[in-house]
Amino acid sequence: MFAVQAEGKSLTTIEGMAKGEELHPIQQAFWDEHGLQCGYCTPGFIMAAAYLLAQNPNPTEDEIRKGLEGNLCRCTGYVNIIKAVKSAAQTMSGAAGKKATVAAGGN
Amino acid sequence: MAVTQLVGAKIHRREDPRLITGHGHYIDDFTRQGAAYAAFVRSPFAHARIKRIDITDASKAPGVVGVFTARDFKGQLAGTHPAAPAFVAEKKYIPERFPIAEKEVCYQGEIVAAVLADSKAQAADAANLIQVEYDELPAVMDLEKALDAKSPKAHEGAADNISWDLTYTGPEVTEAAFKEADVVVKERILQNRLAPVPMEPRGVLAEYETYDKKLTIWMSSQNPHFIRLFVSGSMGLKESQVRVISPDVGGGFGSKISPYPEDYLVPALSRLSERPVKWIETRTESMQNATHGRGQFYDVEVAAKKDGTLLGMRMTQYLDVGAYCGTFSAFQACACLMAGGAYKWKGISARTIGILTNRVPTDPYRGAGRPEATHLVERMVDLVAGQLKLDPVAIRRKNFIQPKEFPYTQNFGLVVDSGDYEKSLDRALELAGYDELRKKQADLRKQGRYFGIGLSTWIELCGFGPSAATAPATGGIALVESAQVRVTPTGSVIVYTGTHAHGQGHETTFSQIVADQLGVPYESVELRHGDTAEGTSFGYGTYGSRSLAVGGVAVSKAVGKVIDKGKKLAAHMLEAAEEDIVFERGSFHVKGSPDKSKAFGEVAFASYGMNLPEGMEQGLEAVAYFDPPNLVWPFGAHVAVVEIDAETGHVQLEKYVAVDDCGNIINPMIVDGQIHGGVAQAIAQALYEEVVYDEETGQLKTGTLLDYSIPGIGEIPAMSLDHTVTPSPTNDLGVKGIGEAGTIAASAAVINAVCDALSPLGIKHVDMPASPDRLWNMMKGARK
Repeated sequence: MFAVQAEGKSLTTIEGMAKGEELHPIQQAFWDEHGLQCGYCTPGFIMAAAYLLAQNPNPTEDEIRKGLEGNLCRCTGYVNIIKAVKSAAQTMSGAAGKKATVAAGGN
Repeated sequence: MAVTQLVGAKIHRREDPRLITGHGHYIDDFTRQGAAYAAFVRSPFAHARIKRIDITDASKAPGVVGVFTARDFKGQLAGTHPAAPAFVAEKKYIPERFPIAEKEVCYQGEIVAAVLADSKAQAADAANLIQVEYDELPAVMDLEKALDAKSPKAHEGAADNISWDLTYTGPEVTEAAFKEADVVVKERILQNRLAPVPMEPRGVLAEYETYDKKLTIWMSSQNPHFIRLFVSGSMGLKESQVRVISPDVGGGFGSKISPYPEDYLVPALSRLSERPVKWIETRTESMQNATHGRGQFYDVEVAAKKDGTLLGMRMTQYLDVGAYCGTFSAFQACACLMAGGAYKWKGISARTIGILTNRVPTDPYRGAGRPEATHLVERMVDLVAGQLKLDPVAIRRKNFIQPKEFPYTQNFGLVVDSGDYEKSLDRALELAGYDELRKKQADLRKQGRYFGIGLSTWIELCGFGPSAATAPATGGIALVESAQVRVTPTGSVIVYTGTHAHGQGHETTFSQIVADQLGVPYESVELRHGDTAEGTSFGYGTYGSRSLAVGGVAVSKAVGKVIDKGKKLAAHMLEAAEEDIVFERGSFHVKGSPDKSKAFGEVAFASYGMNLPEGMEQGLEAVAYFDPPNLVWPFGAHVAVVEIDAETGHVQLEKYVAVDDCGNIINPMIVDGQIHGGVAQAIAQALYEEVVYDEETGQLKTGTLLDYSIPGIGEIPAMSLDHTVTPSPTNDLGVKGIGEAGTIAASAAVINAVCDALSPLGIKHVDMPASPDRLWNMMKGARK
């Protein structure tokens, strides 16, 4: 969108996600799941994930892939980004325990 | 090394809090008071003579500080672009390269003029007002035609287009093998030209302080010390007058190793204008100006016996050097030395030819030479297996170098340190469910579906590298690594390394190693890198999966020296003999009397006091350089499973399994991340990416990310990973490298799967990228 389209709207950027030292659950999940390497694309992915989870609090892997298809990452192969978004969704919906098996990633 | 709680553990990256909150410091986050902005005018032609440059309108444009052409830089910059003779002993022809063209442009995007203005927009606007008249010359694009003596030349007046032509081993070394052969399989294998595309393009901010005669350069670089070396030399400054700071680097993948024209021009503009000067590369500038990778083809023949025993290989690498020889371009010839892969051969004949064209230069891109080698040998082994109706697993097992044969001296005299290739293959087959997959394939084939399984049992050489090999290859400077460990009076540990990082998490992993070795809290260790004003006098940068295996070991050696001094001091404090002091878990104690001890912090504090043993100087710090006795040799086995849409030729990656062995693991989370990203970049090569130039005019057709399709989140599949651990005997940490492994391994697995899927159609070989377009045409042709 163009800046003028945002006139009168409220915008959240990456700087507005954490509350002081307390990270937003999506930020925490990216940290926990190693969802970033060089970090350059990370603010974009975190904000896109925030929008996705606001629309769809419990997305499937396919829905995460579709929801984040507008962003590019060259480091992670997206594997841990998907893991991070799944994990954040779980934390945010407070539904620990009904976690689906994460297909992506090692170990 | 004693493995305690930190090494081998999944430790959260300490880089991340700043990066996930928007507080990373990339090059465009920096500015200087009074900075002017540079914009460059670039050649729209692949090859042309510059007739005239008219700067009249641009000079009068709003905000313009100055307009500069080659002439203005002649007194500022000296010499030609550095090109290391790496791996190619006989350099034939390295075209002279000045950072800005004066008479002739040799690739589209070559700089012809620079504009400085008060703002970025003003600089860009003024650049558009510069009128350049060109006489277009024929562009040299096709590698084979370029070799013809009658071909136009990539540089006017050159004798030919050959940058190098080196035969490592002639046909005589494979004569016996080919005589003995039951089958000979031949193929031409293409390596598509790739753009590294780090998410953060390059950028340079330079400030020359006229009165102090000091130059500070902030830039996005994998290799700040080398940049200082090259730029100071060109500008006639001492290295001590130049400081290069490379902050957070938003990806590199090899494209931020070598110096670029702007790395010289921006500092020179600062000296000329007496203002700080900033330039940030646009994406299109990056696509047409940052070095590319691959861009090769290979002619290969393999001789084998009926039972699948591999005998000999003859291969020639034709490498598109581009318009100028990249600083480490010739490194890519190591594909020849690695062409034998994980297998035993009676002989390999190898020749490399570097060909000049009117494209942007090629230089190392993630893997550099080793992905090409893996792709070549893994494809050829599958082709032999296909011809002999052998299972691809069986032929690999039959020819592997065996665990008891390590250290193994391969055909080019390189010594493979350690390995257990069958172990990683077994684990990969198990994870993939190989036998089940073959059954599924048989069923699907009956339904007319194209389902394929591909293997890559890859090996790699990395950790550059031993001085005996690397000093001659760079023209004098051995690619060893330096480290400094400083312990403050209160026991804080500051570690400096000459490597850098662009996403690898060294701040975390190097600190894990140091905290473990010193037995101090992880939080008390800090790693610093990327600033030539700090730490040791020279550093060697991050590329070639070398940071841990060379830099990490240097750090470990420096820690060892600190501990040695600590032992001397502790012995004095405890009134014991030095040889009786044991250092364990952060404490010096007398052998047999663990209660007679001094904590590391106490010894650190004491080292700054007055009660020292005779002759000991104050302080607790050490410098170490590590010259590795050998390269390190990671390996592994990857399995790709694909289904190809019969109607559209689209390849669906159904499954991806990777079992890799990088020796001892410092942080498994980071290792897996490196594999994920590496595999993704190889999938990108195998299925999606290719730099395309117009073959007649040399116009770059893939100048944006709409045209050059790096994979998005929908294109990369889930991956199942595992590891085997075969420590390297080459270094004390037992580590190898993992930064490039995924990229080295995966293109072969994917393409072998594609070829396996299409084998019922009689298709034996598919080149990259295996795009729907290419496959649809091949399938249509085969069905006729």
